[in-house]
Amino acid sequence: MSDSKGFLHWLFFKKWHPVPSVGSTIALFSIIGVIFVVLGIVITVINNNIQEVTIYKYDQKCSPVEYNKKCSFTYKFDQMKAPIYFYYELENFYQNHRRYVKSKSSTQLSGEEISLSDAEKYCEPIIYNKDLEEWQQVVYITEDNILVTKESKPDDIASPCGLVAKSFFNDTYELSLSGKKIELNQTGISWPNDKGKKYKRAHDSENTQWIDPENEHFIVWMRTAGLPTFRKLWGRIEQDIEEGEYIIEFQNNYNPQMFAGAKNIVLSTSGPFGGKNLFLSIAFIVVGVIQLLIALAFLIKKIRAGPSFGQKNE
Amino acid sequence: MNIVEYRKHRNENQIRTCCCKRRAPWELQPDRKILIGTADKNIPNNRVETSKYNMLTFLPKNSLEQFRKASNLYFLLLGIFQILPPVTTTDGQPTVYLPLSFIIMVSMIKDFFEDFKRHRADDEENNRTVQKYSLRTGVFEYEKWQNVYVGDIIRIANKQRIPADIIILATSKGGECFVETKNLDGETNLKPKYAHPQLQSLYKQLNEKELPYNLFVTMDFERQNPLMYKFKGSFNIVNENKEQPKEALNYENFLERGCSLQNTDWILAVTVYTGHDTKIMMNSIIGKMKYSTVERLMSKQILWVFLFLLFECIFASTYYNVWYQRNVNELQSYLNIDKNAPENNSFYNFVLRFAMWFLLLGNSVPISLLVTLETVKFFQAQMIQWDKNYLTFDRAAAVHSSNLSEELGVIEYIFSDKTGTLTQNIMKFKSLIIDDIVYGDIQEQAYQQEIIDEKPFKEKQRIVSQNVDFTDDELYSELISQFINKKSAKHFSNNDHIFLSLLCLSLCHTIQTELVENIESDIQYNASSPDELALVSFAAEMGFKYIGKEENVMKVYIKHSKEILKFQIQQIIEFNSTRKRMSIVLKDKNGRLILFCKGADNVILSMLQDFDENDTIQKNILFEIKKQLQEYATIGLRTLVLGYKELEQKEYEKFLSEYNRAQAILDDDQLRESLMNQLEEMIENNLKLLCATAIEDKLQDKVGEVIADLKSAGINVWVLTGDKIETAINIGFSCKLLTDQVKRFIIDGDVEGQVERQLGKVTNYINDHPEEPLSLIVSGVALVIIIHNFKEAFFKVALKANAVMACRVSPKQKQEIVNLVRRLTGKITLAIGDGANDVAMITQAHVGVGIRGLEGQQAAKASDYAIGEFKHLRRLLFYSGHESYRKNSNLILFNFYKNQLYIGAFFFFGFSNGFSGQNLYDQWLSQIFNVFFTSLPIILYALFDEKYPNSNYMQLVQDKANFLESRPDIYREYLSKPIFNLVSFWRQFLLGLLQAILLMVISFYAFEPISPHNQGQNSTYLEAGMTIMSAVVIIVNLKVLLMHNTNYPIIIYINLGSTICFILFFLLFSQYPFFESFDLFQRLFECFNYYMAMILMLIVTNFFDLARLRYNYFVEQYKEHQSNNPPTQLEIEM
Repeated sequence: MSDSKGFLHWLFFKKWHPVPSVGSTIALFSIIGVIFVVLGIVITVINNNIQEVTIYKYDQKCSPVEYNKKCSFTYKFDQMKAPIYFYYELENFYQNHRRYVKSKSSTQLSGEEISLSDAEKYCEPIIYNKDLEEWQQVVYITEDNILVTKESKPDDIASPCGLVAKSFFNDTYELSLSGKKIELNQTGISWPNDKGKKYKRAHDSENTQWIDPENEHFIVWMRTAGLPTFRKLWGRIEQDIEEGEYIIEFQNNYNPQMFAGAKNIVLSTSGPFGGKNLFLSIAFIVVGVIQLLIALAFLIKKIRAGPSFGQKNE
Repeated sequence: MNIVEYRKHRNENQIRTCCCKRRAPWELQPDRKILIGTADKNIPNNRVETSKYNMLTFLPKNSLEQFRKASNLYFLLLGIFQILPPVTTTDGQPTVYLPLSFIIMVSMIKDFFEDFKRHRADDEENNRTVQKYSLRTGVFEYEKWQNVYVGDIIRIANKQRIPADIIILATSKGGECFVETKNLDGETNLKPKYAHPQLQSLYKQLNEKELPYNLFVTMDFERQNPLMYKFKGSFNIVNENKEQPKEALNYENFLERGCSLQNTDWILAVTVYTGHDTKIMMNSIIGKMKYSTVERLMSKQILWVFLFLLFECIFASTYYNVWYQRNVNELQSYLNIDKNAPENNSFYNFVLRFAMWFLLLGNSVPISLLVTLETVKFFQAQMIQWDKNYLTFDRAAAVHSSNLSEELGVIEYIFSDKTGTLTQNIMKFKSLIIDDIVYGDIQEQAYQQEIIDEKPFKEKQRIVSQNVDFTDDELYSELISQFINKKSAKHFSNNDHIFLSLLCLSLCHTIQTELVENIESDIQYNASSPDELALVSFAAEMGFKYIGKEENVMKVYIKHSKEILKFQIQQIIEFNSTRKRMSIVLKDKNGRLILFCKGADNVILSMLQDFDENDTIQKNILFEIKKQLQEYATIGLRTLVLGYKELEQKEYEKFLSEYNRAQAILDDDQLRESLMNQLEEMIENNLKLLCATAIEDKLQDKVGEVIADLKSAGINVWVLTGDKIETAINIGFSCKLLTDQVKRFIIDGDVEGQVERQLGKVTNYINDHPEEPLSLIVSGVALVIIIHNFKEAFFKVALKANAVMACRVSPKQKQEIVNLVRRLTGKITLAIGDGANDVAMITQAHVGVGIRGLEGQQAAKASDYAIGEFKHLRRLLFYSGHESYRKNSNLILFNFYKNQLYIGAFFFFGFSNGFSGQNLYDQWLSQIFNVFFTSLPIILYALFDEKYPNSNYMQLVQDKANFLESRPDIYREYLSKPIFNLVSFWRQFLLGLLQAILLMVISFYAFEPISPHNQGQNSTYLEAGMTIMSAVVIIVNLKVLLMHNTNYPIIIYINLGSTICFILFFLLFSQYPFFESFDLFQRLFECFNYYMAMILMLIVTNFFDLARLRYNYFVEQYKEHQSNNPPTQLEIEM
């Protein structure tokens, strides 16, 4: 800064020519290694405090397995602290298939009408009402997930159109402990900005659409998952639950055998950073250890090669 | 053949009348027959066209040329895929056309201007005017160059350029004329040319009046050919139908296009070769576009990358097909694919997926790389031009092909011209030895001249010539005192060796002057040999001023006694390369005859008068002179010995009559020659020793030093010169290319057997002493034989030699040598020269460097780099070239790494969705990924990173020498271990792919299948994808920072800025519900797992890289340390 060129010049154009040393390298790698290991341990601890219960293939728990029927079964839960998230999980469902992902109209979902050509362009192959599932052609699903029957013209453009919408997951759940209903809060399960912006009710929604795009289950479904096994948030239990035999009653609509998959229920408490993630804790510890090994390797090399290793030459 | 036949004869040269009819190559053309004065319109006229296009053909022809480049074609194809609806990832917009059209436009504009320049140059040439004899009017009329035909008679005035290849008919100087050939061979001295005496007497009148109508001259001569210094033809004079005997015409009568007439008022000449048939045009090489080796290797690798890409696509489409067929029923439930839909057709499906994946992975061959590389090279070229270190007389270096900057970093062979490149083409008189006294100091004096001016010896009257570097006042004061004693020149006798020596110096030469009125004023000497110029200038400086020749009387003005001495020339026996001496016989005003002789030291010393065995004084003198001359030779001075001999009138007359008789022998060349030689030898024998001189062929600044550095950098330096062997060897010594310690082999035979023998000797030597260094000197004539018969054997030897000099080589041969070395070794070559005779090799070598001489710009114009002096080559190679090579290689490696990292991730994403071709990134952001987020940092790296910075602040304009210039070993190391090669390329490529897997795994497992958000919300595939994208942006930008040897705050800001630019764009795209990534930004940036994933990704990529980099760095440093300080015995024992 002693240069006459001034502070700004120094601030922008000063050169420096760092020469790495073995000592600093060892220090760098060991410090970051330690941080990683510590972080890994912290994440592990957090993970261990998160409770997660998975009920596999819940639709198989009723006998006989029938679809479009209500069904219930009992399941023993341990004590869990609020908030508890209620997920359904699908296996072997390729929501990330190119044909599937592309098949929706952002314009239509944001509440605007689209032309036939746009529908054909974006929603292929589900363009008209007649392309929808049969049950979808005769209902209107409200924001609160209530089914209202209605008529729709088969040759109108389906709204919402496209494969993603058509394959909407429509199981519903209720949870009770010895006759006392445990409330599943189904609001706020989608991303806060999606509702009303990206997904917006069209004008005259009841008559022209088969589902209210502001239905949060719908919004959750529309945000397609990246792996063929995925979870979707269905509701939130905002009270602690005690240990006990719970009755889970569900409307068994969605048939996983169609895609040779399975549907599960997952209940999970939440840590400060979301759900349980074993991967991160393992990854951090492994990477941290590798860094420490690198630091050690440098140290050994330095000791064996003598003081001139990594020394600046002049 | 009679005259009518000549008139009817058609020289079958097809003129190109239409585009489909081409002229046959020159080898197939017939020899020519013409009638002097009658234009032969069957042969194309003198118009020269070097341009490639015209207004109409430019667009179609050039566009075609553009798409001949594989990369352009590739991107054209990619754009077509982008338009196809089923596969498009860009909503049907061919976004790749934007950068593509930019690239094409730039190169089209470049081509346009280049061609425009060529048009202008052609027009200028074609529209010059010359006086042409018109048969119709019988007078000379001005005509454009382009309208001159073969057979036309033209008149050329003094200082004018010769418009075509011509045969001189008559000159103003009685058959003699002088030309300057610097455009052809770079030599500035004047060369005499002659008209055939018969033609001279016939045509000199044409200047004033018409020729008799019944007088014809027919001419037969060779077809056009590119052989320089050669013309074969004959003419017949047919006067009133009487045919006179055939007379031969040869190179002495021939003038090439491009020379200029000097010191001659006019010449008349007949055109023999025109336009593209002229020697200069047939020797001109159409400069091909040069690409650097790095770029060529890159193009080759791009092809492999392309194959790899095809493989990936085939893999992906096959995978999808198999996967789809296996899961078709399950997928049917939510993909609604009709049983009859084309998707169920395996082939259609395959093609569709192939196209999709091709488009998705298309960036494997990054178009941004081409743009980045061009930009970087352009600015690197600018930085060379701005560089103050290259300034010579306030002119900076000029870069003509910017795409070669990294090529300069891997040069292994340098071919250098001598005159004007290594030397300044100035001979400086250095030293004079008279008897056993040595006058003159051989040390460098040039810089002290101004100071020395104060010395008494440097009186005002003295001419200070640039050809003399002699500051010893002893000789001068000796002279003055002698003149004070003797008053007048006539009192000197032949025993006054100083007087006689200077007289000899001022008289024994063939220099031309124009007589001047004022004898005190400066005289312009026109010397055909710069050595003579130095000698005569020295004599003049010492007060013996040659003032010219008048009717065979040479005049010397003696300043000391203010008298003019006159000598009548009796005989001049000229210099040639076998005699290696010249003599002049003079008669002074008292009628005494004296012969002065000067020549190579060994020749003259062997011709000295025998002296008495007991004459110790003579013996001593001889011994001293020999010793001194030996010493001069080893430092590269050109030495001459002068002798004299008094002749008896009778003796001379006897010689003269016999000599004339010998000269008259016409039918037997060999006999004549040998007889003349004998007589010459006889009269020149028994000389008395006068003095010896030493002349320095002045080297350019720091040539020796630079050549030594180049050699220790592992570069082979070859000198290719038109000069004779002796001078080349002298220069070899003075620039330290040759030393006495290294064995020297000369191959100069002019018949096959001799060359073979000489070559065999060298081969044997190499076989016997494979480790011994040797140097090789080869003559042009021998080279012709070698190239025909012993190419392999010679180059096997030559490539082993640590110095090679080729002498007496023509421009074409220079080019051939370069070409052969290039082909046989596969190494990178550089040619440097200053004259038009170097143009061929400059265009042939990988890199051509032109020295901007004081005169003659052809070499500089044809070159890729034009510099002012040879010494700049060191900086050009060791600093500019080396750094460009290092940085551009890293830039290319980085670009492939970057794109693999980026693209690889969603290739591996394919495993989770059956390779259905789903994009992982926001399609709009991913379009601008390369341009906005990751290109500027690497460009700045390539421009501003310095391995050894020599100032504290960022500089666009360099003004100090760099440390690298003093480190030939670093250059050498890069030659032996190139940083850009197959291994490094694929290492970076695969590293990118490998790290892409890590990124893919980390980001997906950080987000899926668990819910990463603190409100329990789920993630979507784009979340993982955008995490990868932001990680890639940060990783690659950070990688650039880690690559930097020198950091600048501004570059770090810009680096961060690039990342911030990404964040801003991401934020922007997150605002609009229309986009897939709506709200993604807010969700990700409040998500803990995002940061965790990011940190993990940075560590597993950059940090592990860093560990590797550091390790290599330390090991290298350690090695260097070890080699600098070899361990002492004690350390070894420990």
